[in-house]
Amino acid sequence: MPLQSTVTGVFSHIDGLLDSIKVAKEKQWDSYQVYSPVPDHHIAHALEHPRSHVRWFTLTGALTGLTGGFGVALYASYKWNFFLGGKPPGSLVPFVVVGFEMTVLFGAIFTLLSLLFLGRLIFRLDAPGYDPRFTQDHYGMCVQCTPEEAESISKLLKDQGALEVNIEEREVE
Amino acid sequence: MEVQIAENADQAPQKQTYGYIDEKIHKTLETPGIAYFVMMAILGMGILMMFAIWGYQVYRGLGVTGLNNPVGWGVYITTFVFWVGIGHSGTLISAVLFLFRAPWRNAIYRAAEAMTVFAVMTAGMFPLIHLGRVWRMYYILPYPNQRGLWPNFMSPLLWDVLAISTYLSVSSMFFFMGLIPDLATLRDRSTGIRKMVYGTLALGWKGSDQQWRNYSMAYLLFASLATPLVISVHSVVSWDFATSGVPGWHTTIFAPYFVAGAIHSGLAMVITVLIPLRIVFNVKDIVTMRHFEAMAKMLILTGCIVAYAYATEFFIAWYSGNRYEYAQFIYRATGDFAIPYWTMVTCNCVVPIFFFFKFFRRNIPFLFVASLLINVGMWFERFNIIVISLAKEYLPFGFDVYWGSWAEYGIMVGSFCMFFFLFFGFSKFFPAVAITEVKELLPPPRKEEGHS
Repeated sequence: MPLQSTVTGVFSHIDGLLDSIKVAKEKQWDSYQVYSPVPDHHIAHALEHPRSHVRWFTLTGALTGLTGGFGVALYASYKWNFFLGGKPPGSLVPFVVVGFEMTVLFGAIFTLLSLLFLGRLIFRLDAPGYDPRFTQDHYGMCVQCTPEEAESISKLLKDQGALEVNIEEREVE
Repeated sequence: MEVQIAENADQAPQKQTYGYIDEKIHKTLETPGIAYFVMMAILGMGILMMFAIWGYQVYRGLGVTGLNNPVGWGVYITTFVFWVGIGHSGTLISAVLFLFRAPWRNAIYRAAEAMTVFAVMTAGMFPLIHLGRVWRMYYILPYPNQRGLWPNFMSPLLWDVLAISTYLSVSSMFFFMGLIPDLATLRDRSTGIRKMVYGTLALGWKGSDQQWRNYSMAYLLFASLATPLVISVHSVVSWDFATSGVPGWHTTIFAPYFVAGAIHSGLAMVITVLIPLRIVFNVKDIVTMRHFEAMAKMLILTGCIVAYAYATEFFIAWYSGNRYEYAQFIYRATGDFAIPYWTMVTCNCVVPIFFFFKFFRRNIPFLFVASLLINVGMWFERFNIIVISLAKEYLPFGFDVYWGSWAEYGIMVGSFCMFFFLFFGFSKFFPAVAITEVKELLPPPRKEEGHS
């Protein structure tokens, strides 16, 4: 099986990380991951990723809840079929409350599920090169490359101010 | 990397860094002293007492309460509405202030959100306790059954069930989502069983750019969903009353009146729990006077709204020409329940006036006492609305007085024990001050200090 290297640069300042992202773009590295202890708009701008798709999950959940809320209320009313004062059992105005609550509930459930799915939580726990300091007070960049490229990438990360650089190798299928 | 953010703290500003925040908040999770265990044991006994009384009530029936005809809703429903109200400030601080980009929320939102979840959980017990035959509670669920019965979706009581359960679910999910990055920080600082527990709950969070991108969007959307929800929940609770024909209940101002009152009591409870929390956990430089001042200013606003609502109720009772409504409000202020009524007015409307003066907004002992008084006032507000309205409806032969029984007050005291037990239990195992959000207040560390 072929070997793959992961070069991890640990940074104590954000400048070094931002410079490294610039280098990654210039050199057209195709597989790298950036870590930070807090969300940072400087990093988001530097990476120029497209907008998150979470919003589509939220919309789907909200619409599901809205139709489900009205649907269950109408179904239960017509199933029970209790006529009062000659009026039809299905009354949309009071069902707005049911529809609204279900919209919010399912919108929220789908939002949380989308975070788990798109953020690769639970579903993908391995993160080669990850350093526990990344959730605390350090920034990190992990670059996946061939073992031959590892040394040059390591040098580039050091040049951008990496506090330390580690190289891991593992077999990939 | 080192900056001063505690400019308004009541102590000398300290140099704060990401590492300092981690260290400071991680320390709050260290093994507590004997005083903590004594406090938790007392609260635990209070909970046992509550369940024992509930068991006694199930055995003997609702006759152990002071409920009568016409006062069929008493201390249980009063306490239910009170706890739902307490739950409102958490979502206000975590969602509404997030959308308004109020950075002062960051240090206190976790405690407020925890309070919300535990308060709504506590509230959720009371309709079950009030139900009497608690084992019949599943009748409210809409499912095909051999009885051919379906719940009435036009009933405000069913809306209430939906609103409270949705609120509990959404606020719990929002609360958990906010905890994920902090749990990862704790996982990476811990060892042994704690590492395993925090690691499992962190769901594999690493803080990658992909995770942050989706997390930020999800958080924004959650806040956008939770904001109308916080307004809707107490509106729906108010419609339990407003859609009836009872004088004192049948009024269109109930929804905004209830929402303002809920936020009023919730903010007071945040102050009540944060004052001991910041002292015990020594986080005075993170939860500063700035936060208390901001909450005191909000209490002025909500206090003015509830005072306006009290005055409007009286005005409309007179202006409408409805003599039953008018008689109800005269009775509230001068009748058998005059003491609860004027206690409510004093605590909710007069006490917040002191917060117009900076001295009182920055005086911790006064803030603590005022927050307790406002909560007493808000409990009495619900008592006055619910009990007095029922005690004097239309026909004189149906008038009666209700003061509750030992069983009802015992369960109410037990509910307070349960709330504080859950809150302080949470605070010892999980960060009551949000690590990530407090770090976000600091500019990112740069090579040249001061450049951001």
